Amino acid sequence: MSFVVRDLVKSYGEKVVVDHLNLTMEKPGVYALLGTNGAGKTTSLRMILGMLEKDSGEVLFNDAEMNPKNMNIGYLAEERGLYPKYALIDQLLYFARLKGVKKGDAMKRIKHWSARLELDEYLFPPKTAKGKKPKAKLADQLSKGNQQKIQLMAALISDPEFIILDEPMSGLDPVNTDLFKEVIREEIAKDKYVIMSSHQMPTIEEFCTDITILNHGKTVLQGNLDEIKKSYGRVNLFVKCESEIEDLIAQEGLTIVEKLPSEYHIRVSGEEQAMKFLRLLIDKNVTIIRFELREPSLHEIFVEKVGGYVQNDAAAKAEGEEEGATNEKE
Amino acid sequence: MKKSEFHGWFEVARFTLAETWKNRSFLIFMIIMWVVCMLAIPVMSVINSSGKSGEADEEYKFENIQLEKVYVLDELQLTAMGFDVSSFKKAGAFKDVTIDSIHNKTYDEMREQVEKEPCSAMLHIYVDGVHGICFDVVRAIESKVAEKECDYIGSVLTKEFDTFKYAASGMGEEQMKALACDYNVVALLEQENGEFVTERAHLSEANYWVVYALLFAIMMICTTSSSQVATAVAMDKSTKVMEYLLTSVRPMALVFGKVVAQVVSSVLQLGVSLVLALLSNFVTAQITGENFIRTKLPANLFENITIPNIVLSMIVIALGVMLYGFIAGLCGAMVRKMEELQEGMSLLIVLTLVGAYLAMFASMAMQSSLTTPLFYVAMIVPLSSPFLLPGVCLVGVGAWWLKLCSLALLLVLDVIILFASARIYEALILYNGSTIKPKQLIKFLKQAKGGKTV
Repeated sequence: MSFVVRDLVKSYGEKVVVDHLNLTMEKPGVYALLGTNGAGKTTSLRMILGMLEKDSGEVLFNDAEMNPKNMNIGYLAEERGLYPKYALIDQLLYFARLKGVKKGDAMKRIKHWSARLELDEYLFPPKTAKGKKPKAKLADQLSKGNQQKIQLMAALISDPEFIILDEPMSGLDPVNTDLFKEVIREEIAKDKYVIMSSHQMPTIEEFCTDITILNHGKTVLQGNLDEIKKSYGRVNLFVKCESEIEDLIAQEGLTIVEKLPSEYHIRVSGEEQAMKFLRLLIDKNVTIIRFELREPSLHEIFVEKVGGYVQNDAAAKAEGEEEGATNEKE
Repeated sequence: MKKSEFHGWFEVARFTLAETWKNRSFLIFMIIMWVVCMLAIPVMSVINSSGKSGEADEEYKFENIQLEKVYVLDELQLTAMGFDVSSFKKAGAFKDVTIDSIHNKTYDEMREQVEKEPCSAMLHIYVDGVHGICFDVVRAIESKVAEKECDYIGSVLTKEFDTFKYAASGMGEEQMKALACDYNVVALLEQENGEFVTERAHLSEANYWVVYALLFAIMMICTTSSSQVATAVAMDKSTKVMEYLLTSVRPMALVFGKVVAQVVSSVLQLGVSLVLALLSNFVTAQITGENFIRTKLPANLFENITIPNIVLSMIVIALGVMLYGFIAGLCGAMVRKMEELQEGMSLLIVLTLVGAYLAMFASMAMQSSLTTPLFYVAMIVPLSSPFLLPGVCLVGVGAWWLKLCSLALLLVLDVIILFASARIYEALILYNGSTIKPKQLIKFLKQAKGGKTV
């Protein structure tokens, strides 16, 4: 079993929004598609789902052209959608029936997910004090977070073999974020293929083994997350001491990446330089509270990769504008 | 298992139908319509019977009439030719009225005479350049004679004069009855086998009203159901439910399912309204002893309305509602948000008006002839045929080949618009630009044909 995207291209007029995207999942797991806003993540996902026609390239599932209409796919779209004035239970049944789930099974699954996602009070509200059946809840009577839970239910109600989650945690409070994470973990444990797009880097680090970072449609970094981190080496040193150490950092010729209120984030060339600096601190009798040497986080890698592009783009744009202004003057 | 373009349409239709019927404004509209259908016949029956009681009062009053004498001023000498002016005396109330034929007196002199006698009236028979032969029953301002009494004498004499004319021409009673009947012109076409087939040269007045009433009913159904389709399609886009739906069904199934739901809803509404009206008529007939529909509507109204014609009409109505539903789907697909729907519906409104007016003018033209170019155009053009063809099929007029052509063209356009609206729907599904103008549709259709998404 494998999932392969090969040379996927999509353009709108002259603008290439997805430029030869390639990704491979040899076995079930979670793959992260990262990028800034407008990088081409959602467009790529829509092409994978067959909603958008691709200009070129192919999407293969188990070595055959993937046809999403003939597969059981669960999709949580970035732009959440529910009918605001229709009863929630009706909508969920409708979505389930469209996926080919029989009404009886659909009701069982709705009950299961309702309990799992703590939505019983909205989907199966208790009878009133007078013993009357309460009115069915409508989507627009729910909070944003609860609407998101309903949509996760809709995505998972058919027990899909392939799941696409576009920004699954955005807008959720910490409690619901943990709940979503648990559910996603359960799905991963069932050996499913999951593609996740998110701006929340800690979440991606928590779930994904492989990543692709997109910027303006182009792939700027791709591969196994651990290997990517290893390739960067342990160059990030976090030091927190009781006394001021800025002079000592300067004495060693180290670069301060970020100065926090009582902590320094320092860039070192490797473990050897870090150890040399530690010895210096000890020799100077500095009380050390924290001394941590680690690989760069995904957030740092992302900012480095995409930030560089953004800066280059901004510089090129500024240059272009300047040239334009000069031409006008001439 | 491969899914077809239409896979899932039934679920879409079922859900749309269920939600439409749960919609409060729809329910209120439907209940009002059904209440009107149920109450219309009893109310009309009550109004009619109150009119009848008025007539009974008049008959009662005729038993107590004030008229005692009628002066006859016959300028045409009809009485000398044998015209009986005393025929009104056959009614018991008038039997004691005396008739006095006046000679050698002028109208003004007679008028003064009538003014002096409050219980008298004058029958003035003369010729007018505009109205022809006139029978004026004249009474004075201060007269005790009621207007109804004079009207009655006038109406009796008019009928008597018809009889007098036929008799004067030497006709017998049977011939007179035959001439008094309503008449109808029928053109017959000789077939190859020597048989004659009836071809109506024009639409009778009764049939015209059937066609006209049906035209308006269909226009109302098309307008309401197509606006519901457009709303449903636009709602999928504006609420972003579309992205989720597209993982399960094709745009074709979405558009088709929504339109089928509205067609079923409209036909059900119409059918239930009809059944309620008939039921109401039945109940009213049981209570009042008078079948309102049978007695008040023209007897020849239902002569061609047969079960096959009704079935054919229902099929055409369904195809027509579907056509306008698909066009509405196209309009709904052209907008991004519900707020833009009104603007997007302009195409539908224009097309509906063009179709309905064309059908309306054609139905008027049908009263004079069934072979006018306007009639043929309205039958052939699939925008107007949904409004005209059901009525034409129901009353059983028009050539069969014309109806067949009309039906075939309607069916073909239905299929074309279905595919076009689904393609546009698919192409514009994730479109976030400004509202698309009808002109731009052609461009998008070309793109959609190549499988491109905008």
